[in-house]
Amino acid sequence: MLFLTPWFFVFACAAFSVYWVVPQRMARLFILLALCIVFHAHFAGPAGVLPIVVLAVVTYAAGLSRHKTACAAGIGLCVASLVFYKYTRFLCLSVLGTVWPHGGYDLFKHVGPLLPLAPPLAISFFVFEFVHYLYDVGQGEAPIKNPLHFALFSVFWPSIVAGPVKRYGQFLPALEEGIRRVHKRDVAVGLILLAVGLVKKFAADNLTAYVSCYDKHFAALGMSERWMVFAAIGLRILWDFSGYSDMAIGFALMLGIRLPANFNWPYVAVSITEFWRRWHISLSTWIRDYVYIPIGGSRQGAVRKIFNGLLAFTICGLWHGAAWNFLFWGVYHGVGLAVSSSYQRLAGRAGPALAARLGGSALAPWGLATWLAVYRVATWALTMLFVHVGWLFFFYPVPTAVRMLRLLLTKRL
Amino acid sequence: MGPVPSNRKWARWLVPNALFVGVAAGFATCCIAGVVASHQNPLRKVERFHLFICPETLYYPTVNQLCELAQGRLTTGKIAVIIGGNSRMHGTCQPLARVWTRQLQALLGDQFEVLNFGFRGAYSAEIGAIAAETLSRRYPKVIFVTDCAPGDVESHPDGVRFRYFFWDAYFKHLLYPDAERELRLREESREVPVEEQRQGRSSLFEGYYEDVKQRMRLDSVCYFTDLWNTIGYRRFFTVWTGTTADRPVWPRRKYHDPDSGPRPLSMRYPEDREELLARVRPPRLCLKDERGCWVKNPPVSQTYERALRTCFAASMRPRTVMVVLRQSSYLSQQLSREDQEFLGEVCRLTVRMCEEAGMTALEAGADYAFDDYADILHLTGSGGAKLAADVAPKVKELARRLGYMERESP
Repeated sequence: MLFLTPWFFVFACAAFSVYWVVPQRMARLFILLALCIVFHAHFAGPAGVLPIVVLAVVTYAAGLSRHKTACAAGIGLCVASLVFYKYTRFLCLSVLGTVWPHGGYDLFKHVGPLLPLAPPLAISFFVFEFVHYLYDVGQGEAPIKNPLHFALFSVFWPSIVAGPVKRYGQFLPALEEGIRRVHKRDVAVGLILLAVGLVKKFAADNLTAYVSCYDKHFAALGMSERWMVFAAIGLRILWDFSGYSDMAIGFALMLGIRLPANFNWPYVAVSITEFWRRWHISLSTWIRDYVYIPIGGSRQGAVRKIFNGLLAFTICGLWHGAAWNFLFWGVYHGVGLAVSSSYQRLAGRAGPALAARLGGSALAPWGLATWLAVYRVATWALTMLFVHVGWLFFFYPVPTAVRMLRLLLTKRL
Repeated sequence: MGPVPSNRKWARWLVPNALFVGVAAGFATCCIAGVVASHQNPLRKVERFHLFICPETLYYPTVNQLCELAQGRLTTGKIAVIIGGNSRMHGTCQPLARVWTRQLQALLGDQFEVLNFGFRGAYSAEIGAIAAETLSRRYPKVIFVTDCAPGDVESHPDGVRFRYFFWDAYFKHLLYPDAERELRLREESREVPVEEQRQGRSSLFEGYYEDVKQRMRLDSVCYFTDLWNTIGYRRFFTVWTGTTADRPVWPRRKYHDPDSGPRPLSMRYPEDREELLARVRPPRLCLKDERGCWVKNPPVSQTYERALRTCFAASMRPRTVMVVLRQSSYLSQQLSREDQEFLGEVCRLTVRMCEEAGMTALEAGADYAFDDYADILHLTGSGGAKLAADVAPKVKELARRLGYMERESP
C-alpha cells in the first residue's frame, strides 16, 4: 500500500505544498509531471520505469500517426508486454505445463531469466490505458498532441498504481482545469475522501488479519464463525479496494483534477449486472468498451452474446492475477451475468402478467409493494451470496475454495 | 470556492477553511500529545514485557517509554540493572512469581533495581541495550546484562528483529556518538543495494527495512508511536491480532502475563533429535591447529569481534555483563565427545572475546540439570535461580569496579 509509506507521506506534503503555491499553469504542468516521475521512479525502480517509458513513447507515436495499422501494432505491443511480464510464468508452467510438463518447464527455463523479480509497477493499469487510447484514436478520435499531457496521462501518480483506469477524453479536460486553478472545495472534498479511504484501509487491514488467522483452520471453526470469515472476506476486499480508490480520487481532487468514481455501493446491488455497474466501474466499463463490444457484444444473437460475455469476463478475471483461480472467478462471473441478464429479460416480459395475477390472488391483501420489497431483498441476498462465493475463488485455489464452500453448508466434509 | 461535484452533494455544506484549520490543528495536537505521552509512564506496573505488550502482538514500546519506566522505579542512589537480550533473559517458561529477575533482585539487594527489558526474539544488543544506553545518558549508575549463545551475536548495529527501536533512539538523538557503529551503519547502507534495502531484511514484526528507518525518522518528529502506545495500553487497542482475538479492542493494561511455566519434562523435546542437536552445535568460532590446540577461526572470529564492537557502543561495553548461556544440557550431553569439547572451547573463547571487547562476561548453563531447562533454550524457575546466582556476583563486582558501590573490605 504505497500511500501508507513514510516516504509517500513526505512526498505528498512536499508535492502539494509546491503545487498549490505555484500559480502559473505551465509551471504547474511541469511540476506535476516531475512529481509523477519521481513517484513512479521511487516505487518502480529503474527496471520498472523502462517498460512504461518505451510503451508510452510507442503509444504516443502511434497515436500521433492516426494510422489504424500503427495503432493496432501499438495495441499488440502493449498487450504482448503485459502478457510477457505478467503471464509468462503462468502460461509456461500452468497452461503449457499441464499438457506438456517438460516443454513448459524448458520454455520457462529459457524465458524466465529475462523476467524481472516482479512485473513492472502498475503494468496492468497503464497497458489498459494505452490500449484504450490507441483503440479510440484508431477509431477516429483526436490523439493527444501535447507530449506533456500524454506523459501525465501515462504516469499520473494518484491513479497509476491501482486505478481508476482513466479515459483520456475525460482526463485531459480535468487536468486542464486542475492546473489552471485548484478550488478550495475540491481540496476539502479530497481531504475527506482521503480520510474515508484511510479508515476503510485500516478496517480492511484488520479484517485481513482476522481472515488470515482463521482461513487456515476453516474446518475447525464452528458454523457461525465460518460464515463470519466468509462475510469478512467480501467486506475486506471492498474496503481495501474502494479505500484505495477513495484515496487516489482524493489526492487527484487535491490537485484540482477530478477522476471518475470507481465504486458506487456495490453491496447494495440486487443483480449481478447491477453489481458490475457499481464495482470497479472503470475496469468494468473498459472491459465492456474494449473487449465485449469490439468482439460483437450483444449484436449477434443470444448465444454469441453469452460467449462474448464469458470471454470478456475471463479476461477480466485473468487481469487480476496470473493463476487459474482468477480465470475461474472471471468465468464464474461471466456465467452469473449471463444467467442474471437472461432471467431479468424473462421477468421483464412476465412481470406485468405476474403482478396482475398476484394482485388478484389470495396474497393480494399484502399488496404489490410488499411483494416487490420481498423480491428485492431476496434478489439482493442471492446477489450477495453469489458475489461472496466468487470471492472464495478469487482469493483461494479452486479446490480450497470448493472445500470452504462445502464447509459453509456442512459441519464436516 | 469551486463548483459542487455532482455525485457529492454533501460537499455544499463544507466550509473548506474551517476543515483545513481543523486538519492542521488535529495533526499538531496529535504530535504534541505524542510528545507528552513519551514523557509519561503508563507501563509503571509492568514487570516484564509479556506477550500482550510486545511487538509480537503489534505493541511497539518506544525508547522513551522504557526509560520513563526505568526512571519511575529508580530512587536516588540505586544502581539500575537493565536486563536485555531475548526470551531467555525475559524469563520465558518461568511464571512471573518465579521469574529469574526477581531472584536476581533478591540476591542483589535494595541497592540495586533490576529492570527486565528482555524481549522474546530479541538479539543481544536489541531493545534492552538501547534502553540501557539511553538511560545511562540521564542516570549515572547503569549496568546492562544480556546474553548470547556460544559464538553467536547479531551482526547489524541496528538489530535484526526490532530495528525500529534502534532507529527510534537514533533519530531522537538519544544514543551516545559512536564512530565505529556509525561507520558500520554507513557501510551497511552502501553494501546493500537500495532495492534490497527497500525489500530485504524485512522482519516478521516490522516490514521492509527502508520503511522502518523512514517511519522512525518521521516518528522522531510526530511521536505518533508514543501516542498510540499510550492509548492502546490505557484505553483501547486498534489493531486486531490472532492472539487478542477474543477481546481485540481491550486496552493492553488489562492483559496479564500469560506465561504459566514449562511443559512437563516428557513434552519438552520434540522427536527430531538430529535437528535439535544441529541447533546446539555452535558457530565455528575456533578450530584446532596442526598441534591440536584450539585457535580462533579468523573469518568467524573477526566477524564476531567486529559485531561486538559495532553492536555495543564503546561507552556501554564497560558497563555490560554478557552471559554466555549454553543451550539445554539434556541435548548438549548427547553430543559426541569431540562436539562437547568444541562447545566448551567456543564458550570459553566467547567469554574471552567479550572481555577483550571491554565487557564483563561469564559462562552459564554448563552444570545446569535437565530440569533446569524448559526446552532447548529456556530455563525453568530452578534454572533461573541458578542463573541469578551466577549473574549476581558478576553484577556486584562490576558495580564496584565502576565505582557505583564501595568495595567490600577483605
